[in-house]
Amino acid sequence: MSKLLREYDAHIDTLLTIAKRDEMYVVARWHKRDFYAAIWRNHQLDENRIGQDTGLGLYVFTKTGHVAFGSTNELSDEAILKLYTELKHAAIKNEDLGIAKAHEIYDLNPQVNLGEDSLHYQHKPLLDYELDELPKILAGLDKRAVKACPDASFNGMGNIEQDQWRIVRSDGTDVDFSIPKVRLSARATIRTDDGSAESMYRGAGNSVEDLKAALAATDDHFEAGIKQAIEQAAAPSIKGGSPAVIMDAELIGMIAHEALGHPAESDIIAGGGSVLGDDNGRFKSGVTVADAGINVTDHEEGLIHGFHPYGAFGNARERVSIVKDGKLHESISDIFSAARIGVPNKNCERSESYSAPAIPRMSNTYVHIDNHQNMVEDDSVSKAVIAQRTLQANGMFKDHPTVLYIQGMSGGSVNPAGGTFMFGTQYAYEITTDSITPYKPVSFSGDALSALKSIRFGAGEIDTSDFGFCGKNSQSAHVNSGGNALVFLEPNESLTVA
Amino acid sequence: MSIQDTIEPYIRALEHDTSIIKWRLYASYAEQSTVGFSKKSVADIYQPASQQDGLSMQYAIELEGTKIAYGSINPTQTNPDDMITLAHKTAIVSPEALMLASHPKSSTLPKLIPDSGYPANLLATLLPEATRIRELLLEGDPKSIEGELQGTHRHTAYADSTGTSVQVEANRFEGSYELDGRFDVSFSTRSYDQLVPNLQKNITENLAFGKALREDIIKPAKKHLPIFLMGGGELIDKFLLNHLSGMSILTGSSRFTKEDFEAQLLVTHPSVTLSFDQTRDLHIDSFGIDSQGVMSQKYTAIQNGKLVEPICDLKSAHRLGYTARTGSNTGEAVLNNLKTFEDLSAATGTYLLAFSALGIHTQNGLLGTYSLPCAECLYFKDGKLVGPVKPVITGNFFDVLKSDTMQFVSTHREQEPMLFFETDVTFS
Repeated sequence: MSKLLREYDAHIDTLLTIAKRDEMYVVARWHKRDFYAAIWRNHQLDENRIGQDTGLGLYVFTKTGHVAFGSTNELSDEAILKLYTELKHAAIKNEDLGIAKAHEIYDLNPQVNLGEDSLHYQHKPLLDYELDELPKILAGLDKRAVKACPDASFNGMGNIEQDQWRIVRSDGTDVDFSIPKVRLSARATIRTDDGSAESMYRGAGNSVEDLKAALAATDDHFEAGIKQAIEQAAAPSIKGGSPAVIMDAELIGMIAHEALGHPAESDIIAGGGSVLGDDNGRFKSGVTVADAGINVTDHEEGLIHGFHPYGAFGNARERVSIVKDGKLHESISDIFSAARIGVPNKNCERSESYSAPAIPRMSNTYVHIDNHQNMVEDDSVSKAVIAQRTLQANGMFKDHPTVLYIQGMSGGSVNPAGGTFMFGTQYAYEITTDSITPYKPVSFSGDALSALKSIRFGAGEIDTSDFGFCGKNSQSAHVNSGGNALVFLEPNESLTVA
Repeated sequence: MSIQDTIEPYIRALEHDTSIIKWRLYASYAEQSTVGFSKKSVADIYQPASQQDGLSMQYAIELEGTKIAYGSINPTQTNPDDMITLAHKTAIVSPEALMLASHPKSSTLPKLIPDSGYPANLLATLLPEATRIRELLLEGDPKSIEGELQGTHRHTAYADSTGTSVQVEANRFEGSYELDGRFDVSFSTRSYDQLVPNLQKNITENLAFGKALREDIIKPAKKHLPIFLMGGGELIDKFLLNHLSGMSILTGSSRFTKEDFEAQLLVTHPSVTLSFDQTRDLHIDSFGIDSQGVMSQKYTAIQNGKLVEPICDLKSAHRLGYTARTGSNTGEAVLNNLKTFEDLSAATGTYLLAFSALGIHTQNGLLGTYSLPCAECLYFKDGKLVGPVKPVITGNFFDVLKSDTMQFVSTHREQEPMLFFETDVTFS
């Protein structure tokens, strides 16, 4: 039995009883969302916003597996029964028309509520948070930005989001969880006689204290980022090409997410729209996409940004090994398309609000390189210098006298059907054994199936601190991505920097 | 219960609370019916037949001491007293008083519902229509199909402490399909009668493009080519319109300053004028009133290549001294006397026709540089289709904006014009 959203027990009982009488199968998702946003502009807290809403997303299945979905945020008996009745008739109409079935819903085993307090019940009333802490952090960063660059414009936002979910099914499943998220993002815009540039700084946690700890861990990045933006404003644009590249954890994580993760989603493969599916719509399990020792995984236990303990239909989400020892292994799958594409179901479906249909999505996606090299650590020098020393220590300049170091993520995209991916970067440096030359940020694009094949070595431990949002079917999902702290890619004609 | 009935108790509570100086409310109730379809079926689990109904209300409340609270609630879950209590607990001292939009007494709202109204039981109507469109698409044997038909009926109500009260009702119907996971076709309208016929109109031609994209990729030797880019208005949004936002100018994140507008800085080729008309009856880009209470208007952002005015919301309009507007994107601009794709492509001869550019949102809008893979693109030489290509287009879009070749081009395939310009290109 769930602990959360118990105020809807009576509605749930009524809904399950009526569905049983009608020989219908229902999956009901109650979702309560609270949010707070502090908007910092022009050196002051310019606005704060608060929001509250609870709604119901409801699937109604006929015995044959024909289905309809709907939602409402008017949570009265009358409104819920009206929705149920409309959906029942739509599902029956689908059966009459002989269109799509989703009979796999009956293959799901009832799920026991996992119920761990440490992972599933971390919420508290929104007004119990110290809401004024986020503006205080932003004020401190603003002062530092102006000190580092008196002409800098500084803008930022702090957010608290709290989603509580309760998922109930006709088979007795009744699971719940809540994951609070506290997040801060800031942007300094630099103007010099040479032009303009931006520096981004951000952090995330599950509480204000968590956020402070995350920011403290990267505190020196703030001024360093402003310094890099000043350099960047005056820097030339790089000539396009396919150079040897060393990238940070954010960017190798982006390759994992965009190039491998999206094409590995089972709904895309089943629909015939993924380069990782064969002509029969099966996942190309076993195909070599990287050297031995290179792995890509999705899902991490713990309250990290993209984590959620259950799939949106209520069964426990499982870890996915997308690439294992260089070979495609498993898909980001759900019960409805796993068997169709020949992979095990991992309950990876997500729904980002009560009104959104569930679709297979990534959560936290990381590249792990076995037998990685040591990274040359030195807190007193820039990241570009650390990259240079790491390249030197691994003898990379012998075969590649010039290497492009790219750092910091600036969003990405993929075309799963053609396998083309791209992402933006925040900073770029051309590194030789005795020089480091800044360039304006570059875009990195290439072919999904060959991207990982260029990896020659990784250095440093897995960095999982990067977080962001992923868009699919008009739903924005919290995700994480990352990998070894530095990863070197040999020149490859199918990977372009411009 | 009507949207006006929903909002009334909140209006009364705000009017009777003496601690409240000013306020505004915006409530919206939407009923939405959707049916998805794919190559395998109609209304599958990922794009099910769905009925989504939702109610929301946004408030802005000024309390004594220029303290302002902004928020959104669900009126069926938060009563008027609780909303006011929440406002008291979360209000912060603001740099200025709450802004309220001014409304000329003579202003009229555009008509957003045709005489034919909104279809009853739309969900049941959409199911056979989706089936029919899917069957037409299957005739081209594409590798994959993803599509959707959707209708939305929305009621909105705005009220504020000046006594203004506005209600708007609007239809919106949208249809789209994607072939082979490669390119999208979409159509939006206020009238249901127009939805399916317009979506069906170019299916044969689109299937032919889809087939051409499945041929072997070729690699031309060219390094600089003209390109017709569908959805290219997003580039104008990224590198130009975003910088016209009043709030971006206030916060220093725009490349322009207030002085640039006063000086009518030339930012594009003089042939470019970007005007918006949000007041046209039954036009898909029209609306009645936005959540801040700003009514639909006509305005010009760029005139003959020169900055005219920033596009300001209420707050930035007050701070910068301009009229408040509701922002638009390039796809909503009124672009008259366009060349057609047929005419310009015939005159150009050798060009790229790109159905999308990946990752425009990732580009650095301050630097102007772009580097974009066009995953779905055809190469035409001397007016004849040669084959599919995989180009990465590169350059500086600030230079493109000022070039005499950049222009908007109308096409019968899409509602939004394409963008035509010359660019550096690398083929892989």
